[in-house]
Amino acid sequence: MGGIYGLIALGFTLIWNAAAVVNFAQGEFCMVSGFLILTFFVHWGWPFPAAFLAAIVLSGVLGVIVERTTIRPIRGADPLTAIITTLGVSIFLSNSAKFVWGTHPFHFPSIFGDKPIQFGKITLIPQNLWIIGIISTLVVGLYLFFFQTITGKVMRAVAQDRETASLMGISVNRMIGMIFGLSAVLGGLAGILLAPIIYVASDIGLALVLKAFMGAVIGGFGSLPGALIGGIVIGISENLSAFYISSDYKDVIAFGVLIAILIFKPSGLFSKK
Amino acid sequence: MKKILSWFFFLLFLSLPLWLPHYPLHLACTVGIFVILAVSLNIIVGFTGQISLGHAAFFAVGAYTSSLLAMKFGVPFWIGIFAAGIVSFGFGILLGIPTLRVRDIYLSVVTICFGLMVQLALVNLEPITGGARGIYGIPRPSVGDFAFMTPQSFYYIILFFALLTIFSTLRLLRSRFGRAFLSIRENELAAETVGVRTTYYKILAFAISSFYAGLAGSLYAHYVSYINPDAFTFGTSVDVLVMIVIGGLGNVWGSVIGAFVITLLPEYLRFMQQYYRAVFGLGLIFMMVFMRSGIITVFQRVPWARSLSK
Repeated sequence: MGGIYGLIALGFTLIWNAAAVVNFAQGEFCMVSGFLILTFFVHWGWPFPAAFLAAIVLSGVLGVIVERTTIRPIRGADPLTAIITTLGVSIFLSNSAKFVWGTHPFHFPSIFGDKPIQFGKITLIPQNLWIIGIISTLVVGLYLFFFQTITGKVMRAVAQDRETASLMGISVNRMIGMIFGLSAVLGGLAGILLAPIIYVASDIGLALVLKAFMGAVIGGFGSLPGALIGGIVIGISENLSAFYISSDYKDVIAFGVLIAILIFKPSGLFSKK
Repeated sequence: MKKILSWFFFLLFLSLPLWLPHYPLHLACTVGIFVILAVSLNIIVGFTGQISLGHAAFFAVGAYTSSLLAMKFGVPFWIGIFAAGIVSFGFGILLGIPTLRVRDIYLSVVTICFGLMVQLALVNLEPITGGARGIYGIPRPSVGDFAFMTPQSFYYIILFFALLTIFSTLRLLRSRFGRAFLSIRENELAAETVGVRTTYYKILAFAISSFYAGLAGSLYAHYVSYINPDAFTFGTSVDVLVMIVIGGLGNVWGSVIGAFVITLLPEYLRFMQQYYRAVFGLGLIFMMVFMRSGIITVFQRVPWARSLSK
């Protein structure tokens, strides 16, 4: 669960670094791709890899479209304008999903089986192992992408300083578009991994993005490893406090802890300052 | 011209209950409550330049304070509403404290968390707040034998408090406090350098804003006479923020217009039914792309209305 929050937080932070926009629509990418794979895999009976690939690609395309139509025109506006715009995108996407897929939550069959495996005293569920495996592979892949490929390096350059990057002959607009696509793919992946754990519904986006936002902030906003770790922290603390304290108050406690962290460490746990 | 126009609007709003049918008048009451909320949020966001995404929390605190006082201790509305304002004021100071250290994006997260915490507390503190079912049968206010039972009479209470909020906020802005708020918005560092106690004024902005939101909450509770946590969600905070942004940030009359538009729009777009929220999202994007500075700027281009929008 924490890893999934981490993924969403990662996409969220990518967009923040590149375009200085708090993307409240990040959770909607998860919601849309969850619904897409539900349609392809369960309703239309496609083989899983095909459905998976189609859902991921389509959410990437969605990310690029969102950037082109809404983020590019408001670039450079004050943060509040950006917040309202992405909230608008979020409201639009989640309510449009309602017409296409209805308001009922859908159950999604478990992909990797949920027969527990015993390791001595520890019981593990294959699905969770798969999730951890996929996310670790992805993190390594992303690292290689950002540090070893030209496109990755260019993306980092844009995130660091848009103006200088454009002076160096980098097409900033295209890069920001690609970053949106990439982070929508990450969000989409999170949505697919999430589908068997919870359920697929048109209104999950906002709750997810708030959790991911908090994860990103705990990790020191703008730091990619921080976002991943922050997401994991949120996921773990949520489950632990539900288990040890009370499930009614788990969110109250999580929010309280977050506010406390921010008061004592105003720019996150992993910030450089 | 300005004087005539102001009197015209004043008399228009004063006479609404005489000729408006029941349902539109109910809408007018709702608009009035949201005018108070929007104008109060504008003090934090528009004038002091701090981002707040948790305004519904203060609305909730006000609503629950005055209805619990009325239900459990029989405190009359006229005292309850000010108690609601003062308790909200206290919560505002509480939320204002993190603003000393936390800025920008981080502040927006703190306010979101605060809003969600208050809402969850309302759901979970069942013995006091009635949990998810909420509180019902909140009494309408009365003076002697006369009870404000109908929307016609209650409308005047709301109108009074809405006007009080608008004009006291306008007055506030022209005072020492208002100038301090604006200086923090424009450049916090510079403000501090010339001797503005920025921490004090930032907390004060949150507290004053919360006071008005508490009044709005109390009015809401006694008007609809039934409250539950669903009325005070993150969505409510977003709606109020949308009101002040599309109306025109940092302009009191802009907030008033925004409150009118956002509250009345779903009524006029009834024919869209379930499509409304999607269209609303789309409209929001269009507003931000093409008319970022708000509806009020349209009025500012018309000469005779310019003086009103100052």
